Amino acid sequence: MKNILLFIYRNHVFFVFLLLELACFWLIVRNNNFHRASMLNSSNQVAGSIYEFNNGITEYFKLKTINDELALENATLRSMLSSSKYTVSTTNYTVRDSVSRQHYTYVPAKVVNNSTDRRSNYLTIDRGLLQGVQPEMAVLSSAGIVGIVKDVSKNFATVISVLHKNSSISAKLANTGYIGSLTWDGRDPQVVQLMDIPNHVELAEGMVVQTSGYSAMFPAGIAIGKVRSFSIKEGDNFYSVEVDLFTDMNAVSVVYVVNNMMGAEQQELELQAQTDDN
Amino acid sequence: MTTDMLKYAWQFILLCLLQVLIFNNLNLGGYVNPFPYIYLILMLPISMGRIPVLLVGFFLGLTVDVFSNTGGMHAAATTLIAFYRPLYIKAQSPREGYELTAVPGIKQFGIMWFIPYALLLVVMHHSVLFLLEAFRFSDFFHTFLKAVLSSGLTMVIIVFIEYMFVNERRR
Repeated sequence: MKNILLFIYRNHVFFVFLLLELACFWLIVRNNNFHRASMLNSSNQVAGSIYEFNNGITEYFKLKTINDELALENATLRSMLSSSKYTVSTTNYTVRDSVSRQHYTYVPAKVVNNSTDRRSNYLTIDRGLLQGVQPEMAVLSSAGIVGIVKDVSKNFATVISVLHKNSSISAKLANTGYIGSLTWDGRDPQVVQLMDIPNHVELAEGMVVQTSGYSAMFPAGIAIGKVRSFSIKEGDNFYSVEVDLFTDMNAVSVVYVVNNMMGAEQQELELQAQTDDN
Repeated sequence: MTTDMLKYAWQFILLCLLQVLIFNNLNLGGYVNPFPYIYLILMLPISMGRIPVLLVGFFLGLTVDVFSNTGGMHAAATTLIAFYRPLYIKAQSPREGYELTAVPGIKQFGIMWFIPYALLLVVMHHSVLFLLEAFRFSDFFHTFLKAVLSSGLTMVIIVFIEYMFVNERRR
């Protein structure tokens, strides 16, 4: 026993080193688990506030692009208004809409921190619990998808970018309906990979890829990107498809957090089906 | 002593802010991310105890981790070089030993001493960091290239800081 203590005392620097490294690895492993509320990421108040201050300065340089994006989106939305449609029918109806119920609501947010150059990228947005942001909500930009909320503090939230090594989002080819999952190989922040498209599907460059709506997070039919190229290995059953993202992840600044009002209901039901199986 | 502590605390904050607000956003082709914040570890006084150096390294890395959402990756890399630094300095010590107030730097030891010292620690830090980030060996060449290119840029920035700002430190 005395010898052990002596050994530890003689090498105490090494043991402190070992202890600190163990702490680091524990933090790394813990950070890889989804949705663990934690002080040690940029959704905490200090880091959030510093990023918000920084964004307050740099935002001015991006205002023109943001304005263009929002104007474009406004134009798209305006064209959907009933006042911009020509009524084909000559009789008038009064529509009391009890057929549709609100399914999704959107919380607008500003990106206060963003990265695209790592293997696992995150964004920090300036909306949190108090504004109704919850973990596992989808995040969209006006052009396409951005990611999924990870951790939430009172006024900030971190978002797992589509450019993350664990990101896997259910997507479909718009005009064939085939479902695949969207992952990222860590190379080009403008290009993601669509997996699991079977080899009998006829693919073409430029085909639109959109969200499938199978997960409870993303609404169906949100545009993601266009097929840039595709290839198939000999003897393989699935294509590897490269998809050009519509969202410029380097420049994303205004985003929407999607609240699926029936998400919990859907998940509960699906969980029930899974537990019944086991 | 207290003024020295204050000076290092201020440099700690300054280097962390520079890192997270400027260098983390520097994205040159997806291959080059410099991490000049580890300059703080390089220039700690030689007489500083090994445990305090380790702790400074750990908390420096942890601070950058908090801002970059990387768990403990930076902390793991900085703790490693903080552990290794005294070993290297001891192995390189002149016959008569170091002056008590010695601080590793170009001004005191010359560029021929400083470059291998800084390069070794920078490459060590970047390799560990990028390997932890990729968490697998399959993209080894990609990771390796990233580490080499980033180390190069970090070295350039550190030498630049040494020449530009470290002139009044002669004692």
